[in-house]
Amino acid sequence: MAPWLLPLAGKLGYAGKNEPVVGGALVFFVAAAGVLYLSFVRDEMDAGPVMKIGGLLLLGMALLAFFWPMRPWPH
Amino acid sequence: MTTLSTDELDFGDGGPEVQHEGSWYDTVAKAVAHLVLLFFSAVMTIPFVWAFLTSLKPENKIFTTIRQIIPADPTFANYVNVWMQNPLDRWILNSLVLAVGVVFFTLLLDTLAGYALAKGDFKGKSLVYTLVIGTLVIPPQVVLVPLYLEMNALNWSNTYWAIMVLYIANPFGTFMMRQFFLGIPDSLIEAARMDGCSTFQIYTRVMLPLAKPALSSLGVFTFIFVWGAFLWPLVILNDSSMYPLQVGIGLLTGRYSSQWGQLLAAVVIAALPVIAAYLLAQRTFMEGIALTGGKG
Amino acid sequence: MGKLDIRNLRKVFADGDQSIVAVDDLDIDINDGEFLIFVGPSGCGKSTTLRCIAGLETVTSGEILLNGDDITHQPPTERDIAMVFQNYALYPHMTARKNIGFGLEMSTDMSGDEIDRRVSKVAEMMGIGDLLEKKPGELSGGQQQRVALGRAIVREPEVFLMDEPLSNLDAKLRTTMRTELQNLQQDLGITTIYVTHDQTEAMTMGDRIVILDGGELQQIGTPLECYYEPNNRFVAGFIGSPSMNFFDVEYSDGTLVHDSFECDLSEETREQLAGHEGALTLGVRPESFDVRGERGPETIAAPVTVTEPMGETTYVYVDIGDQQYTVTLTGERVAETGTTLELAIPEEKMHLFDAKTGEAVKSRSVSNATNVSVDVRA
Repeated sequence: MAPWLLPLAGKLGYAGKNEPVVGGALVFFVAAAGVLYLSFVRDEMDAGPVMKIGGLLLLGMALLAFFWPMRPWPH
Repeated sequence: MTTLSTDELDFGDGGPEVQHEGSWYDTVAKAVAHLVLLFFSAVMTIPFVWAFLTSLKPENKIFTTIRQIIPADPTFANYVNVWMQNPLDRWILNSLVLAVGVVFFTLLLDTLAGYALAKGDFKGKSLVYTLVIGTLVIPPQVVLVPLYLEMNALNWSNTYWAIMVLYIANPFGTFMMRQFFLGIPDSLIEAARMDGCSTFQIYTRVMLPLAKPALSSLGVFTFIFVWGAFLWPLVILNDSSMYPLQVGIGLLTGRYSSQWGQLLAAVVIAALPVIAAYLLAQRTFMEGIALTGGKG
Repeated sequence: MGKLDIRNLRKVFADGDQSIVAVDDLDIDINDGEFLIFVGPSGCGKSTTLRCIAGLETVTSGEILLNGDDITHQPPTERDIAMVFQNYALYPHMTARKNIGFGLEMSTDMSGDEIDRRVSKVAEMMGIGDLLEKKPGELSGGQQQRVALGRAIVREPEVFLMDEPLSNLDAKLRTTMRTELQNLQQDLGITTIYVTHDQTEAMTMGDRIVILDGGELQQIGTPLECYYEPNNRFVAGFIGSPSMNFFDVEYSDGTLVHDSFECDLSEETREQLAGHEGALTLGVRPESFDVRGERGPETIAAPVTVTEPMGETTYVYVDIGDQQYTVTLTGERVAETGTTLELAIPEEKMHLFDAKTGEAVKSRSVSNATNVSVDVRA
């Protein structure tokens, strides 16, 4: 791993109180991409509705995490 | 018109009557077994039901009506209050980030590792397998402090990664996937090679779809495990905006020690995703891992 | 065109410290459109050879040439060879249509329509047109077999490899599929290599048979050649059912001497046996015995121990010396247990093998036999 990657990853992996959760958005996005690829592109997987909806849900979660400060805190 | 009566006919065919000899004994044995099962499921479920029912009582009546299990006038006030007064939504999001990340990468890495260990052919395979199994026997508390120091050295304490990395390469999952892939006949892989698949294509197009039942059970196991993780997140995180739900709830007792109703409400909320995960995957659990290739 | 040449093929498996020679110096030329059978007992190297040809196994030394091109080190896909596996190896998660089309999809850049068209064509040919949307788990053994064959055919390969494809079917279906496979191979005219341990399949299906034992080539020839002119004792014993009877005999002064009988040989045979005085093995096929009505100077008294009526023929087990031998009688003849048969061994039907090396010294002539059987085959 490149040496500059560790601190960058560290920064991405933290989110303060009313900051966007970038690390979380990344995680959701990668997972969503994986699940959506398997359920819509690869028909070998024979994906059921749970998997397809789950993939879309994950995508939604990624957006939610990226635009996080939903509810200012402390209330 | 005449009707033929069959009343006086004997349809026994003269064969001996089948009388179950041990029927009385069987009934008793079954009853005892059911009693034991009932007892233990009661031990497991009563606290949860009790917690749920208590969370419906108004805060000031929890201890005065402690003997009255079913609340007189159920209210969701505790749920509203705990949601409004604490950043539960952020904690749930944190928990979801961790759970989704861990489940996704666990499935990815464990299937790859399990596939390699089951069907691969490389030097030191048995050594690697022994190491994988070996890590299963190390209790997590033992490595808590070294891990903390390690994450500090990486400057990763107080991040999501510190928690995820620890749970991602899960030896149990590797073992489980290896056992599953062992059951898939080699000829299926060879057929895929004859059909023009590269090793990676064999993995994505043949092995992974076949492993779907195993994947969903492993996914649910991992999800439940990460959702409930407490000690390691508590140790490595020091910022309340980063807490997963379990740690957040755990620290509620300190600050609001009198508000048991709110605490129980939060606990019930925390249990919902696990129950949902179980219900979603129940069918796969039941089907088990019966799907291997070859002759049907 | 599918002319396959195997040159000095050798395959050694390393198993810990010791190495196991699975195939030793195999040299076979396979003609275009030929139906060739590899047969031998388990562990004889027939499957390993097939897997080397398929590219699933690396070759220790030697060459495999397809139409003159060296394919020894090419990956399986680039060899233009298709294989049918013993357990069919159908992908359980794909429909029959996907199973058949998968190879085309992965190894060619054909359009989906083109693949569909070819799959449907092959499915019609195999008579599984209405099963294409089912998954392997919903198909019977015979239907799975057809899908597996279809998967191989659809790629229009130069060479077909079949690894005991019928051994998972029940006896009746096996016979049907045997004929069907032969017809299919003749229609397509694709060079086919078929591995089996069943000598009946070997005899009935192949243009030529390759008999292997212990990784070494024992004989290669047409079924009748292998039957009537076995190269050695192993081939003689392996081909034919029930198998050939073997007697340990001493040859001297133009006479074969067994503990229980003696045979005077003709001048012609004596010439063939010149230089082979001493221990020989006499081989007689069960149906070659001449059953005489009464005792004569050249007959052998053989008490019957067991009879197995098969309808058309009856297998009779007899004791000669302290060994058990098999005699095949035509169905109408009755031999009761406990009676004694008077057997003679016609000289022209004798097989003689060197007792030490097992090499054939005298065989029956195949030319006589083929004259008779040409009509049957035609």
